[in-house]
Amino acid sequence: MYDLMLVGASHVFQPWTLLAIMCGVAGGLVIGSIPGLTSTMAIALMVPLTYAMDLEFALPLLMGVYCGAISGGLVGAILLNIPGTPASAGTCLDGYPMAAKGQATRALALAVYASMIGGTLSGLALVLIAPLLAKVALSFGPWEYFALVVFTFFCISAMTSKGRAVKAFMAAFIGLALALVGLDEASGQTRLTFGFTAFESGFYELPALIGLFAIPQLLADTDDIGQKGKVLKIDFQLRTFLGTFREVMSHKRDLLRSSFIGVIIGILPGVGPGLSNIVAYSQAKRASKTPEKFGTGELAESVMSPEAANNASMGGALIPMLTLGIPGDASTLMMLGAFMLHGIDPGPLLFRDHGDLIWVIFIAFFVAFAFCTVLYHFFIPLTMKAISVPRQYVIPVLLILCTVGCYSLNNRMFDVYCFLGFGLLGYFLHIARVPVLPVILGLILGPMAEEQLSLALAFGQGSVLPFVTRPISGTILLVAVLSLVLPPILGRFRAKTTIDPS
Amino acid sequence: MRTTDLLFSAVYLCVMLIGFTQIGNLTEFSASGITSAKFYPQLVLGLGLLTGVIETARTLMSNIYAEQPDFATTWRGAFRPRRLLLLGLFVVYLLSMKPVGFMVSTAAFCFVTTVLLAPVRNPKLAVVAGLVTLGTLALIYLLLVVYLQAFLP
Repeated sequence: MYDLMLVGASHVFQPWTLLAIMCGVAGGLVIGSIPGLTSTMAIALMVPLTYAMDLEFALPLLMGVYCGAISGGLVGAILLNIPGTPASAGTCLDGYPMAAKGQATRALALAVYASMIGGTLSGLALVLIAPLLAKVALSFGPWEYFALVVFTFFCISAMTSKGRAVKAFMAAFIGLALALVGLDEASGQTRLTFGFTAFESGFYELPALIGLFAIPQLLADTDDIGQKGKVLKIDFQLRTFLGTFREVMSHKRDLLRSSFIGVIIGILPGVGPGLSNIVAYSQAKRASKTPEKFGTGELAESVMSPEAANNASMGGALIPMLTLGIPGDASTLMMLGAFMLHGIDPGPLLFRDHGDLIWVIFIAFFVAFAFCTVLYHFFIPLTMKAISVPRQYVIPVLLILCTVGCYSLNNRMFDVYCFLGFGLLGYFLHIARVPVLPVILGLILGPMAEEQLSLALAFGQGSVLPFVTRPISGTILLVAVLSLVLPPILGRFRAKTTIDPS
Repeated sequence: MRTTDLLFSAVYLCVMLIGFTQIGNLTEFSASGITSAKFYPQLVLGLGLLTGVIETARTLMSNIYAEQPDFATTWRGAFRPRRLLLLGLFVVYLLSMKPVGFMVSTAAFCFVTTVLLAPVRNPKLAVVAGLVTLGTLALIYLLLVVYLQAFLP
């Protein structure tokens, strides 16, 4: 293990690689701080550009963008009361009131240091849990892998807002159906191509991914044009900023609890920083001796908890992505796309065959957080400018960069048209309030599901019984079903006991 | 919102049904010899159809729609002029790429979109839009052609 770690470190601690991580973090911070531009968008812009790069260089760069973009959301949340990314929604609740009271530097420092600590703790969880899970996953057969895919879809449906669970399933089936398009390698027949030869190679994941996320987002962002958010003016003082670190360290319990929540939620497929920051905020409120002060911008823990949790989710989300090939959230989905672009299939075999790459990721993760923290000390004035850039300048540039990125993947216009087509699909789903994430998961996990199901049936002589009789597979399926069935039952039970305490 | 949901379910069911009928044209052959080549696609599309039927029934019977925005409000939001303008310009941009060339079409798209999306148009906007366009083209050219040595569309 140590030799792999040293090899990984030797790749990361190269001047150009360190510079790439720093640039990635800086770019991520700027993009993440602009409300409406998520970390997913930041990675989507970057992934195609890494195509020509070495993997040992591209992965640290992407890790930098990933860490920077998630962290960047806190500036908009604190100074504008609009979260730069959904991951910072909880930060608005107390960060903005604190800043409005003239303590903007304190609020920013609390959020930045909490982010750093949450991210570092999640990095430790990643380093400790991922190799162990990969070892366990090596014993998985096709039954377990298929059960994991089923679990992923059930989990996403269970996590969607009330009344949209079935819609999440429909979205997943759209993705699975789109994954059917093209040549079936097992039978040598083309499926659902409707006579178009361009469809025979199927849909390339990245243009679909970028189209589904970027186009609806950019179209929706046009609504903000001309609306001036009130950016709080701050007198940024580095000394005050640095001094807040001591205050952060006096809330170890809150940091640990929020980081733990972040890591656990991050591990769950389909949900990530967007949920963890809200859960961490509500748990911090519940644990507080002065819950009535939450929302007033007085307490440090109310700003720290959501930020520690959203950054902790990043390490958590990377665990299932690296060990099982199942992404934890939309951003890790993009990272998965980057791996696939470079011909690497994440999963337990990645740990066995490319241990050095795994360590490149681990070490780059920590380095990215270190850069993120350092850069924040000097980048606050720049990010303040970034959040007030008029959208009419940003939107066309991002659309062009996405288009060029999609083209450069394979040098063919078909991918660009796919980008547009998936963008329109994403927009249609956006109007119908159908979650987009299951579509992409269906598209990416579809081939895996088909292959594992065929293998499982072939090994089991056509029997489906091993899916439930094998302990791990049976447990995963049971948890999947319970995750969908239990919450409404418990909700009804709670409602009943609230109405009729007797 | 009920109408929107029903519309979505109708489109979804149609697409799944078309897919399901197409899968019927496949031959049974499969390399594994155990499962048919039709098995997995029919499973996916069949379950997809079933989910669509369940959602349609749920939409028709649910009473949560009273407090949600109506069809007209939802679609007014979806077809806001700026959104349609951006989408239209983007489609024209993609279609013009081949006949006009990438650099020219990109420059035109970037400049025109920036100017048309802006809430107030004045000479300063045109200058800034021009600078943004030049900067974008320079960035793309330097990054893709010079540094990554990739092809432009």
